[in-house]
Amino acid sequence: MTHRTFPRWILTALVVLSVLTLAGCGGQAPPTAWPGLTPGEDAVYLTATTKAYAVYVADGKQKWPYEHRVPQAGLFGSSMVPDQMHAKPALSEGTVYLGTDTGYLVALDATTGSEKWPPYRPDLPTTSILFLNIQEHPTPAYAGPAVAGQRVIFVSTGNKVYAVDAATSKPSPSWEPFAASSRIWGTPLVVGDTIYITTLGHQLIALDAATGKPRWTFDKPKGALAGAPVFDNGVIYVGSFDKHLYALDAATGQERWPQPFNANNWVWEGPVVVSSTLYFGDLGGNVYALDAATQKLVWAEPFQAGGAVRATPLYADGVLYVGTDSGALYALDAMTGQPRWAQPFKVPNARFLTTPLMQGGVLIVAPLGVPTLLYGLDPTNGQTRWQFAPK
Amino acid sequence: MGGKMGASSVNLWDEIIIKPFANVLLLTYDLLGHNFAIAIIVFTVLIRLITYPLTIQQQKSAKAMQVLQPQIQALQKKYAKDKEKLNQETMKLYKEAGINPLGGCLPLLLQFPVFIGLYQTILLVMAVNPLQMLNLSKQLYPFLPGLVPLLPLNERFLWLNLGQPDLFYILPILVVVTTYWQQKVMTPPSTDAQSQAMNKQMAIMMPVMFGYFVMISPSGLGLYWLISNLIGVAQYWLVGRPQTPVLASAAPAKTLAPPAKKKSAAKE
Repeated sequence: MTHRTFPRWILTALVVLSVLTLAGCGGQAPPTAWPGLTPGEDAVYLTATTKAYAVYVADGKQKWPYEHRVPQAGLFGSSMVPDQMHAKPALSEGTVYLGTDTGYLVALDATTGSEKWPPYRPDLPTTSILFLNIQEHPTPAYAGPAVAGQRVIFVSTGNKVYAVDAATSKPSPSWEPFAASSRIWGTPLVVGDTIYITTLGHQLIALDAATGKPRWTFDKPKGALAGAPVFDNGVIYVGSFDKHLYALDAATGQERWPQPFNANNWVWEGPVVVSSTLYFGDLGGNVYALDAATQKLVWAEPFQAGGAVRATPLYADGVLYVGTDSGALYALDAMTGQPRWAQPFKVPNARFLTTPLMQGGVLIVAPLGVPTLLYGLDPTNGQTRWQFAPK
Repeated sequence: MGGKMGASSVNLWDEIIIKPFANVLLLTYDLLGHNFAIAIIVFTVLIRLITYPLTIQQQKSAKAMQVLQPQIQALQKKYAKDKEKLNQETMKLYKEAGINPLGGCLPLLLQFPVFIGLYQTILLVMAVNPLQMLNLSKQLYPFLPGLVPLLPLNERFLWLNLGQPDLFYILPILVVVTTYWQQKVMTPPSTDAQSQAMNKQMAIMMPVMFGYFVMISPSGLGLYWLISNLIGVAQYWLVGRPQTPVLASAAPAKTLAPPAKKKSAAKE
């Protein structure tokens, strides 16, 4: 065995490369959540990491792209980089609202994609040591904005709920920003004069839509509440990491069921409700059809999808569309739970973590982890009609 | 109805390293009063203790190799034109000295996945974003249901938010200082001019790069890096710092004569 010395530059390059790789400087930062997808009239609105898009439903062609750039400090000075966007967009009266990873609320014209007002961000909180007082880093917005009348409700700095005027972005004077005890990842739900928010701190909180003051708090769950709550017929449904689906009286926060429904794994998102049947999945890959009144399973047994079911399924015309973390999309008969397609729609390396949409007779799915950002499918057989894969 | 649709593939890395680490780290967090910083410190110390025999073996092997350097250099000079003979004689020298030439590399290779796994686990368990939380859900043992209520972890420790970079740059500075210190302690002195220059360059380069990495990473990882450096220094002090070849080789050089001569001496 001979004693050899490495050329200096190789060793130096290896160290630099490994540290840069660890630091995630090898290129564009990877996504930290799944795409957000919202239906429009002739288009769907998509947040896909560094850009938001409007995409025509008929042919999958791009209507407009939007990018929000922010300064980022680096080893050799500051540079402008694309802000990430994961939160589900909100659409109201021709305006698309987006939340960004650096805590901004963006309002875009739904037709042109141009900004209606400059992106707004509330002041970042500060931390202090002795006499030093420094602004904290922004926390990504995973909860999408929600529209309540003339105001936009949005989550920024991780755990604070703000309300701004939809036309001007001015903070609402009657609204006191509500600070939850833990991060908020679920999009707030607006029902009448109440706003429902879920927190990773195991709570569901009902806020007064006019003032932002809490009306009641439900804190029985033993696991985080990461998904958005669902409202139907006076009842709020919410899933929890403690493997339960809870049903609460929307007005009082009292439980409607004697016991919450026991799933086999974490329940991330709430159900889709169709004629008092609740359809939802768990991270163990089980899809349930549950009678809301009796808590009895409608199908003989849960459907096993073979991969985590994170998103709320889509219901359309008697069919339930369910995406999995392992890249499969199933069409199930809502009455029986039997697959409708000969084979599920599969994309290698993709993860289906976003609820699909049905628009203009096209089933639209937004995968994560592949260059194609949207697939337009034939809902009858799962065949691809178009793909949206911007360069 | 209820048909099973394929089985998810088993990831060996996750099963052997990440899952046990993640569950034990969460248990540690639970036992230590829900303080994630203390859990990281205790868990890092625990892993270092478990891999301590490997560390010792690696360091002892490195020291022994240092001691043999003068003889190896002599052989390199002697057999400069005959590579095959040089290899044979070098291996003979190692054998007679009772040294496995891979003895320094193997323990290091065995430890490397453990430290990479520890780094990945800390990042995973902090679950600061939805994809990390989704991935974490797959790593928790079902027979430990008590871990789920612990999520999300308490991220606050002193002035730090463990899921965010240190606002005051105290942690990056500490990492720069301790990385430099560890480099100083661990790098054996070299007589070769090229190696000396390289060591000097690395002694500056490494701390700066790791400091920058910690500056932009969640503080939880910075804390792990800091503790790892301190334990590394402590371990090297316990085993003993490698000596300079010239000084250290003085005594063994007499007992370990070049192989060819030793053979003839044995015959006599």
